[in-house]
Amino acid sequence: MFKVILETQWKWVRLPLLVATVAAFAIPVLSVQDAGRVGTRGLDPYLLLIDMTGWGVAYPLLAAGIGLLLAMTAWGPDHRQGHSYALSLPIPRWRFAMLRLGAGSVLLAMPIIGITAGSFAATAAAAIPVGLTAYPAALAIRFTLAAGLAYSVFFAISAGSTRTAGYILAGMSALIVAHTVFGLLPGVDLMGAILERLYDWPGPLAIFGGRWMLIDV
Amino acid sequence: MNTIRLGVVLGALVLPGIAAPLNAQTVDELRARVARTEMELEVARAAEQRADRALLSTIPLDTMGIGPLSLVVQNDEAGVTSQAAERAWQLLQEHLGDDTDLLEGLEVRVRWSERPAVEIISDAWSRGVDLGETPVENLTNHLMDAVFYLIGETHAGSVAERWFGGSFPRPTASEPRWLRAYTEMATAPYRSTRECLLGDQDECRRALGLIPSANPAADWYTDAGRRALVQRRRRPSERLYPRRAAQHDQCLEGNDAACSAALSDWNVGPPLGPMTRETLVQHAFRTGGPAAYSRLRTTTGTIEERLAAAAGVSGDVLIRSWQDTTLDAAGQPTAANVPIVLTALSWIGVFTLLALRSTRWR
Amino acid sequence: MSDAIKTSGLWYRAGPEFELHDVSMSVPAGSVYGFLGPNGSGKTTTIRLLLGLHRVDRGDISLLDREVPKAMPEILQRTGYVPERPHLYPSLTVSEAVRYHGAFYEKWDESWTDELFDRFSLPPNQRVGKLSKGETGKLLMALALAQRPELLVLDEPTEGLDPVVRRDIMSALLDYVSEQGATVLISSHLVHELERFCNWVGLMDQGRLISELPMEQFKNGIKRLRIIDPPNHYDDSPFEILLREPVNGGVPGEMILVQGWHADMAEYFGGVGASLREVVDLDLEDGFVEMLRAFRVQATEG
Repeated sequence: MFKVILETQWKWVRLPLLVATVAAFAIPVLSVQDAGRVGTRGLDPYLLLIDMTGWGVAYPLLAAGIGLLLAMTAWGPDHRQGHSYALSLPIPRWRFAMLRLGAGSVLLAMPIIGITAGSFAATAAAAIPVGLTAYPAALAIRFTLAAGLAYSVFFAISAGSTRTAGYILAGMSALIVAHTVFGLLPGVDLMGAILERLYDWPGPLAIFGGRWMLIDV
Repeated sequence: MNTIRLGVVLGALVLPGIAAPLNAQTVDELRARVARTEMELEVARAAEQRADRALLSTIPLDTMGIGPLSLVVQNDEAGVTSQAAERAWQLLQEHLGDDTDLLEGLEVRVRWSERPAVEIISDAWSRGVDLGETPVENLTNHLMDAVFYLIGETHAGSVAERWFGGSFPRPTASEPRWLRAYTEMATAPYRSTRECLLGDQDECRRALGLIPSANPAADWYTDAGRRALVQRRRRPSERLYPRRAAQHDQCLEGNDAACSAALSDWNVGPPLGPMTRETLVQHAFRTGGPAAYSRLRTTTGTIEERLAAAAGVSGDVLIRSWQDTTLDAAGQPTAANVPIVLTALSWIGVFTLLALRSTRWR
Repeated sequence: MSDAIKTSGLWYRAGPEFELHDVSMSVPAGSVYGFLGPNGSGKTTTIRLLLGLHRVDRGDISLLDREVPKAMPEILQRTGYVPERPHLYPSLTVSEAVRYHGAFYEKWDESWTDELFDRFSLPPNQRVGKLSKGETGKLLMALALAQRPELLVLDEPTEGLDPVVRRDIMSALLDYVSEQGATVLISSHLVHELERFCNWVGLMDQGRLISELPMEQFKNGIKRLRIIDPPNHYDDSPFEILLREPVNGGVPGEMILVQGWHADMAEYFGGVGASLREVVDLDLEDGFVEMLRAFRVQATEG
C-alpha cells in the first residue's frame, strides 16, 4: 500500500524534485567557489563570512520551497476531484493521510541527501581559513528539520478542508487589517511582534531563523 | 590553412618584440623605472589639484560661520547648508565643550554638484557624498566628519594617531562593525586574539596593542604569531629581493630569529587591525557621552589611559564591556543544538497531528 | 431477507439550496435496486452519505449490517463503487491505476482482474486522463468488480456512454451479480435502462424518497384511472391515490393516479357511487413521470 502511494507521489513530483535536489547539492558547492577570495592572497575570513551569509538565505528558502512542493503535490490530484477517491478507499482515513505524509517524507530524503553531499563535498574541497569552522552536518540537520517543518505545515494546510483553508485565509486577512489599523498608532508593530513570536525560539519557525552558514566562526 | 600559417608567422615576429623591453632590463633599471612612474603620478595629481582650485576660484562663493569655523558655500544651496551648519555647530559644542577654539582658522568648502550630491573639501579632506532623502542630516554628518578630521590633523604623526590607524578618531564615525571585530578576533592567527575572545584581559591588551612596547613583534606576538605575520605579509614581488625571500623562507621553516629579523624591517602593528581597534574607540565614545572626545584629546598617558578617560571608566571596565559587546555581536553560530532540534521536531509533530485531526481525515 | 443497505430518518443539508429530508430506504440483500430521480433530486448526495463521503446531520445508516461511518473501512472492503464523475488520478496509466487501486483491497484477484480487463479491452499503457468516456466507464466498472464486492454502489455508471459500451458494462455487471449474488444499488435517470434488470425501485425527488417498492409492483401497480361521478373522498380504498385531476377537453369525470392497483379492485368504485370507465397502463417511464408529477403537486399544495 505504502509502495503504491510512494510511486504515485514520486510520479507527480519527480521533475521539480530532481531540480530541487540538484539545487540542494549545488548551493553549498557554489557558495564556497571564490567566496572570500581577495586577489592572490587567498581567503579573507571576514569576506568569506559575508559571502556565506549571502548564500545562507538560500537554504531556508529552498527548504520551505521543497516542503511546499511536496505537500502540494501529495494532495494536488486528490484536491482536484474533491478527495472522493481517497475517501472511498477501504482504509482508515487517518492511515491514508499518514501514508501520504510518509511517502512525502521519504521523497524529502532526496534533497536532504543532496544538501548533505553538497555541504560535505564543498567543505572538503575548500581551504577554510584558520579560526573558521565548517558546519556541513549542522547545516544538513537544520535543513532536514526546516524542510520537514515546512512540509508538515503545508501538509496540514493542504490536507485540511476548504473550511480550514478559509479560516487560515480569514486569519491572515484579519492580521493584515489589524496591522494596518494598529500600525497607525505610534510604537505599535503588531506584525513585527507576531513574526518575532513565530521566528524566535521556541516559536514554530525558529529553525528558519538564525545563521545558516556552511562555514562560520 | 593560409590564415593559420600567417598567424604563426606574425606571432613569431611580434611576441618577442613585446617581451623584449622587460627582458632587456636589470632589476635596478626596473626599480628606477617604478620610481620614475610614481614621480610622474605625483606631478599629475598636483596638476589636477591646481586645476581644481583654479576652477573653484572662478565660482562666486558665500562664506558662513560655524562658530569660529568658516564654511565656504559655492552657490545658492545655502538653505540646506545653513541648516546643516546650525546642527553641526550644536554637535560640535557638545563634543568639544570649551575647546571650540580648535575650530579657529579651519575652512571647509561645500561644493554642490549634481543634486543631491555634494563635495566637501578642505586642504586635507575631500569627499564626494550623496545626500539622499535626508540632505540636511547627511550633510551635517559629513560636515562633522570633515571638521573632526581637520581637528585630528593637529595630532598628525603622534603615536596615538598611528595606533588609531592613520588619523585621530572621530566621534561621529558610523556604527561600530562589531561582527567584523568578532570575526577578526576569532580568525586572526595569533594566540592573543583567541585568548582575548575567551576573556583574558591582558591578552586583549596585547592583541589591541595597548601595552606600550618598543619591540611590538617581540612583545605582542608569540613565535607562531611572528611566523604567521611574516606569512601574511609575503608578496610575490619579494622574488626580486633574493636575500629577503630566503629570510622569509627560513622564518616559515620555524627559525624564529629569521622571523624577528624580517619583522624588524617592517612597521609591526598590533595583532588586531585598525578596524577592530576603532570599535574600542567608538565604544569608549559611546560609554563616555558627548564630552568623551574632549577627554580623549586632552588626556595624556598611554592609549588605554586616554580611552579610559574618554569613556569615564577604568581601563579594566572599558575592555571588559568591549569584550562583552563584541561577543554579543557574534550571534548564534550555525549549530543544530539540542533545544532547537527538539523544538523543531515537536512542531513537526504538532502539525502532523493537526493534519490528521482535520475533519476530512478523522 | 435482510437489507444490504438501510437508512432511517436521514437528514443532510448540502447547502442553502438543497437538503435531504428524512430519507429512509431499504435495499434488500441480493436485489438490484434502481435508484431513480431527476437530476438534482439527491441521488448522488444520498450515495455519498451511504459511503461515508459526507457526514449525515441526523439519522442512521447501515451497509452490509455494519454501521456507517464507524465501520467504513470494512464496509468499503466489501463494496464496489462507481462514482458519477471519474475519480481516478488522470496522470496514472491504466495498469498503474489498477495496481494502485488493488493495493487497498484484501480480496483483490489478479487473474479475475486480467479477465475483466481483457473483456473490456482496456489499453494498459494509456493514461487515465486520456481515455475516452467509454473506456473510463469500463475502467471504473472493472475496478469496482475486480475487488469481488458483496455490494455494488453505482452512481449513473452509464451516463453519457454510447449504447455499445453501455451494453458491455451492464452485461458484465449482470454476469457478476448472477454469479455472486451481490446486491446492486444503481442510480440513473435513464428509466428504460433500469426497467430491464432492476427488481426494486426507489424514487427520489427534491431531496425526498417518494416511493420505494418492488419493480413488479411499480410496473403493474401504478395506473391512471378515469372515474365518472367521483366521490368527494375515496374512503377505505384498497389502493393508494396519488393524484386527482379533471379530465382534459370537457370530458366528464376525473383522472386518478393510483399505486398498488389490481384488477379485482374495480368493484370498489361501485361501492362509493362512482364508476370506473378506463384503466390506463403505464410503463416504467410514464409511471416515473406521473409519480413525480403527483409528488410535486402534493408538495405545492402543502
